[in-house]
Order: sequence, then structure tokens, then C-alpha cells
Amino acid sequence: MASRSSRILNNLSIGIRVVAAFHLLQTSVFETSPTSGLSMLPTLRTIGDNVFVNKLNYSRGRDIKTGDVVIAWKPTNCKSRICKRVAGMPGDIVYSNAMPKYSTIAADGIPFEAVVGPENPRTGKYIRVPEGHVWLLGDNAAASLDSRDYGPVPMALVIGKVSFASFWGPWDFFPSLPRRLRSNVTASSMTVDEYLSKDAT
Amino acid sequence: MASAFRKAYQHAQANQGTLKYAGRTIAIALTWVPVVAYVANHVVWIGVIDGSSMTPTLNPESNGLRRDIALLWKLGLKEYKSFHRGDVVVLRNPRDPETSVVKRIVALEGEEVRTRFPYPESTCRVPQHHFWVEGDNIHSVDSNTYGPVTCGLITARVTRVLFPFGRAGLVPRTGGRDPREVLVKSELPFSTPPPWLKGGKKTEKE
Repeated sequence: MASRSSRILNNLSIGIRVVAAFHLLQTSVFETSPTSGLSMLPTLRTIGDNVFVNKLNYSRGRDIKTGDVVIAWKPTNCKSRICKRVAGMPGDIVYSNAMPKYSTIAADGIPFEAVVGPENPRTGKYIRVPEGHVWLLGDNAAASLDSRDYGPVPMALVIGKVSFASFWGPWDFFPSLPRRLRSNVTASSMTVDEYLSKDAT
Repeated sequence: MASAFRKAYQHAQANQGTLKYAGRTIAIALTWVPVVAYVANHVVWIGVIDGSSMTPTLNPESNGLRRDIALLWKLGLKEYKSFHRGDVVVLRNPRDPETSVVKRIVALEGEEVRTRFPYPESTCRVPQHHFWVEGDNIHSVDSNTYGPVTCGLITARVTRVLFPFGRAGLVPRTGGRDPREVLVKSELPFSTPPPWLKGGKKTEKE
């Protein structure tokens, strides 16, 4: 029979190992987290959603494509995370229609070479997504704070891809079955060739 | 050949207790892997500095034969206010998410900095929760190429050189090429440095 203190130590070490294993699983393999906010409204509810984030294959934007829903760290706030849809991959040309609130921040945050078209505060501008960056947009364009405000997001900020979502709000007794989020291409991004041909016409 | 296998099997049969003990020990050791991973990702780890972008502060011999080993602190990286002008940090390359670079923080949010050649404008105001980072070496691909970097890219602070024992010690807060001119210094009240950074050579008066 082990002594009392050694039993306490043993239990403590087991607890530390279990918590660390769970943390490792959450940070690098798979995570479910609740989301809130208006920015992804047709796809995700304002409150009461749980998103299932695949981090094993998609962290740092490794396998993501245009149209995927991803979780990323917010470029203008170290502590908060965003859930947005990928609207443009590196090299694509995207159209940013509005720079209303944080225009000075966005203008400085975007590397200069990114802006390929004439900049006009009324009509917006064409932007080439720089190497290693993605263009993130919310599905609810009217109420979304996204790349139109803070510019292209470095892929290293991407935490993972949202593959499933389940609704479980305070008014739901049971959570809904996880449903697959489709990879809708809602935003218009184009390749450089398409942009040039559009310019010619 | 067959007899050799039979001999090995007999040997294993004879030493079954030892094998069981070894397997058990290995299994117990494996359960500590997540704990080590946690410490490596969130507390402290050591890293080998590659490349010459921080010469002469790190890797002063530019031939790449001797590489510095440095202590990387990873606590409190989500606290923007815990970063100071002059800190040396490891960050994910904004241009290539799979690689990391080591740079020195030159300007903090809200500050205006005078830029160098590849940057298209002569000054730049650093956006919210961003840093202006530069390498100490003049041949360094830094914020002058890719613009201000966001706080979330930073993966560690380089606080101490460990390996060439002759240069072991705290990484100085200043160094490298001519000191960058920060045109508009931030008026934000910065918190005191975290305890593991206290005692560093603070030449800058804030």
C-alpha cells in the first residue's frame, strides 16, 4: 500500500497528463467551439451554433480552397477569433467594394503591391491577394467585419476548417445533428487572366 | 536462419518479465508526450536560429556554420501590451505560413515609422495590434517588404542566447543597423515587462 502523499502525487500526475492530452487534441486535431455574431448569418446562426473545426489537415491554411469556411485569428485583435469564408486564394484578384470604417488601417495593412486597380473610396478597388495570404469574407456582407476592413489575412492565422456545424441554442432541448457546411463560392474572385480579359472588354 | 529466430524467441520467453517492464516503461513515457508538447507550445522551448537576418545579434558568423541556440519564451503572446520596442520575436512568415522568421520589433501600434527601400511609401503608420519588424542585418526581408505584421503571427520571444557559451546571455533590446526612427511614438500606457524579461538591458527610456 502506497503512502498517502505518493497516492496524491500519482493522481496529480495522471490528471496533468489527461488534461495535457485533451489540450493537445483540442489545439492540433479537432475542436468544437460555439460561435456568435451576425457575420455568417445565412450559414451560421447568430447565437447557439457549434462549429466542428478540423485542425489536423487544415491548420495554417494547408489544404483550404476558395469557398471553405475557416476559423482564423483576427488580424486586428490578438485574442479574438473569426469565422469567415475564403473568398480568394494567393494570386487571385478580388474586388473589395467598401472601405468604410477602418480605411486608414486597411490601406496601411495591405502591402502596396496588392492593389492592382485604381483605388476609389466610392467604388472600391481590385486587389491581388498576396503570396501566403487569403481573402476572407463573411456570408452576411452587410454586417461583417472582414478582409474588406483589415486586408488579406496571412494563412498562418488560419486555425482550421469548419467541416460541420450543429445548432444548439438555449431554446433547443437537443442539439441538431451536425450538418456539413458546403463549400459555397459566394464571393467573386478571379484569376489574373480573367481580370485582364475583363479589363480589355 | 530459422534457428536464429527460434533462439531469439527462446530468449524472449526466458526474459518475459524484462520485456514487459520495458514495454510498460515506454507506454508510461509516451503518456508524458502531451505534457511536453504543451510546455513546448505554450511555455518555453529552445530553438536553433537559422539564417543571417539577425546578424550580428544572433548568428554573428554569417557563413552559417555555427548556429545559435536560443531560449524561446511563449507565455503571454496574446497580450499585445506585453511586447516592447526592441523585443526579438519569432513569427510565422506572412508570405509562407510553413516557415518562421526571427525579427526585432521596431514600432508598435499607432506609431509611425520611417521605412526602407522596398516599401513603396516613405512612412507607415502601424495598424491596430500590428508590429513593424525588422532584422538587424541590412539584408533582411522584413516589414519593409511585407508591411506591418499582425500580433497573431508571433510564436515566441527570443530572450536569451544559450549556445555559444561565450555569448550566452540576454538578447539586447537594441542592436543591428542604424536605429530606426519612429516618427510618432505611441502614447499608450504600456504594462511592466513580464518577470522573465526583467533585468534585460533596457537602453530605451519610455
